[in-house]
Amino acid sequence: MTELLLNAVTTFFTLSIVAVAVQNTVFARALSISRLLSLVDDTTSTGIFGVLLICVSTIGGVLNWFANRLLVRFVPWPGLVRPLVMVLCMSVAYFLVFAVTVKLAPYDKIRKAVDTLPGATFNCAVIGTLLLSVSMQLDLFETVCYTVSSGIGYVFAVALVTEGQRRIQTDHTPIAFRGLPVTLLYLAGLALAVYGLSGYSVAF
Amino acid sequence: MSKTRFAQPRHPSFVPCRDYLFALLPLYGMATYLYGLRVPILAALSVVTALCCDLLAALLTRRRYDISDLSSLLFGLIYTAMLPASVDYSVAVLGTAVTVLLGKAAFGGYGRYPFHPAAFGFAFMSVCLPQEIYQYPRPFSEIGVGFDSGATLYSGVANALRLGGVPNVDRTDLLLGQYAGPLGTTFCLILLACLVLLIARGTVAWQIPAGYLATCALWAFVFVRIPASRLESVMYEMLSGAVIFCAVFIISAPSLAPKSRRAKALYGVVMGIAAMFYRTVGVYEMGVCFAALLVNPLAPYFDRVFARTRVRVRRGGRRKK
Amino acid sequence: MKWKKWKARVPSALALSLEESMRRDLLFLNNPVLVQGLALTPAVGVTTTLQNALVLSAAALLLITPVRLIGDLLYERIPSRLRMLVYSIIAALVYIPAVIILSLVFGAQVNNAGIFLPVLIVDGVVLSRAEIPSREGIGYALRNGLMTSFGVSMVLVLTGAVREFLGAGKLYGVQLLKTAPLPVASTVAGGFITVALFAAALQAVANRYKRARAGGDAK
Repeated sequence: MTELLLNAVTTFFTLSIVAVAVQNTVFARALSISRLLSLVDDTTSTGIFGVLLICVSTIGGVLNWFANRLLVRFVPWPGLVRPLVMVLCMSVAYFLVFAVTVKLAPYDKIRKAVDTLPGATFNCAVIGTLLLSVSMQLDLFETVCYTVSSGIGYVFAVALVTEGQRRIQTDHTPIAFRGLPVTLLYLAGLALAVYGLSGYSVAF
Repeated sequence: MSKTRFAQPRHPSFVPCRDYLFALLPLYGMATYLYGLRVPILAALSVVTALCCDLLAALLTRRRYDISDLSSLLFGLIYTAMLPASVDYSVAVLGTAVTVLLGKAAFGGYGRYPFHPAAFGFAFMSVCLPQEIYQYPRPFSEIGVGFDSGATLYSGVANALRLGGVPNVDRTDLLLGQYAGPLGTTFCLILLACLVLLIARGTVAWQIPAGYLATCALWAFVFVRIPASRLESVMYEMLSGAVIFCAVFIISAPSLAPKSRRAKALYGVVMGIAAMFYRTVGVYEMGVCFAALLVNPLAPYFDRVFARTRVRVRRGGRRKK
Repeated sequence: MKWKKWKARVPSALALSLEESMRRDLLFLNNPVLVQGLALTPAVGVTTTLQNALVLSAAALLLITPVRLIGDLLYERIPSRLRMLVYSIIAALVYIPAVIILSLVFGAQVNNAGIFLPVLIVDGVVLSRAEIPSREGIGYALRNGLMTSFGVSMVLVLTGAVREFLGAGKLYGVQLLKTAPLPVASTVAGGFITVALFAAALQAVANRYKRARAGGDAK
């Protein structure tokens, strides 16, 4: 029992470090950058988005794990249909999280949460995480760890970029670089920092 | 009526950069003594490249070129000091261009960048050319001044530590910097003297390097990765991998540091943890530059944390325990 | 002369038309990648070679317009809260024939795109229309879908070519240089820098165009 628990904790920490740092969703795989750029200006939305993203990707990951086992067994070309199955799993997760949000969220945050939910569900980070968990052939527990950690890694990336935006979006920035170009340069620096941990470009 | 000549106001970077440039002089002097004439040629190329890039940036952005802005020269020389003395001239030129154009000018000039331009340029070139950047000649060896230096190259002390081995370097040589390493980062005694001088002049706040060096030493004491005693581990870790060099020139840069004293101390500690984490887990032996890319942007956050704490204490009317 | 007389009579219309003409130019001045910041995931993540860029460009061409057309046809039947969900499902259904076509055209090269091909289904460039609470009409959906696809393809191909040349010294798999000039171009960081420089160049050109038009209109 103790050994099982130790193994579980070790797996969780290993996958967490991999998902948050070494193979960060944004800096190592460049997933969901457009959505990140739309979040950086509003810190309240970032918090809500992060929570919703983690919930949706975890529930979607679990559903996808079961669906993938059936897909591989019964469908001759699983690669073609896999994205559709993933989108359907994300849709189910969407409805579940919607129901829970409406029931449990603080009254003043419900509207914002419900408006943020579609963006938090249908984005490259979620589907990318599901695809990676399938390609890495993770078991159910590892899938849950990986999806939670990827979500945390994404929120960490949003926080870092938001912090940097205060400094780089000023009147001193050259006109040609204002807005998107300077933000991308900043992301390049952070991506270099993450690259320094692994030393290789992650396979896709 | 007398004519009064008004002097043009100096760029805000002039005073701190001048102090830093003076601090670099003994390092380059020592490097020239150990490695020969290739060092001043590299430095000259770096300076010329930095000036040209500054002019180009001024032209493209239609801003007045300010000759008193010494920051580009400084960043170029800091970057070059982290290279091997035998490195190809193109590496120094390209790296300096990246440092000045992408690391500084694209963000709006001095003080507007989220991370240290020299750290950005060095990380960029490390990823491009790791074989060129992380192989060093021995002091007093034959290093030509042509395009090909023809020097025999060796891996560094930090690499030996990363592989779990005890470096084959005498303690005295380690302190004086007389071993195969980057051209300007190995002279630990000179670097410590420069640090004291910069703190005395007020260019550098002592909280940042103190927090950083103390954290690095503590990490090396606790997490020993070589078959040696804890004190030896501290000695090897602190005197290699440009730890002290980065404490002086990269981490303590006033344009990137937090403003409040407690924030500076915390910033130094976090930088120390990140730097040692990168050196232990990362693949590049000069992990400090990569760690700087991650921690530099957080400096304003540390200021805000302590500003919020101050407001809470003031509202409460007494210090919270 | 006629043009000047017309300009003198309707200055407010011209003041609008500069913005409107820039907004409608989905190839350059309002490019979906370099100006709007959409499709950055494929542009930065996977366009390390020209081959990958062509595969992703073709995928964008096959996905964006059909999804936009079908979404516009079904607009009135979809509740606003479910619009993004329905668009995602439509995109996932359109993906199936799209990948079959891509496999027939590009063969095994389609596998090199990895997860970035299915990720395109929920990319902002495909789903962005779902966030706008108004119908655009079949004609505009077709026009905007095609222009967006071409705008994205142009940037992906250019980025792929530059990154492959700098990162590997090759172009479409043909070795042009002995050593790679800048291996960092093959990494995600290099992708960010490449797209940032293209975006800055386009912004500089757009600013000059705006100044020239504004100066011309003032005269």
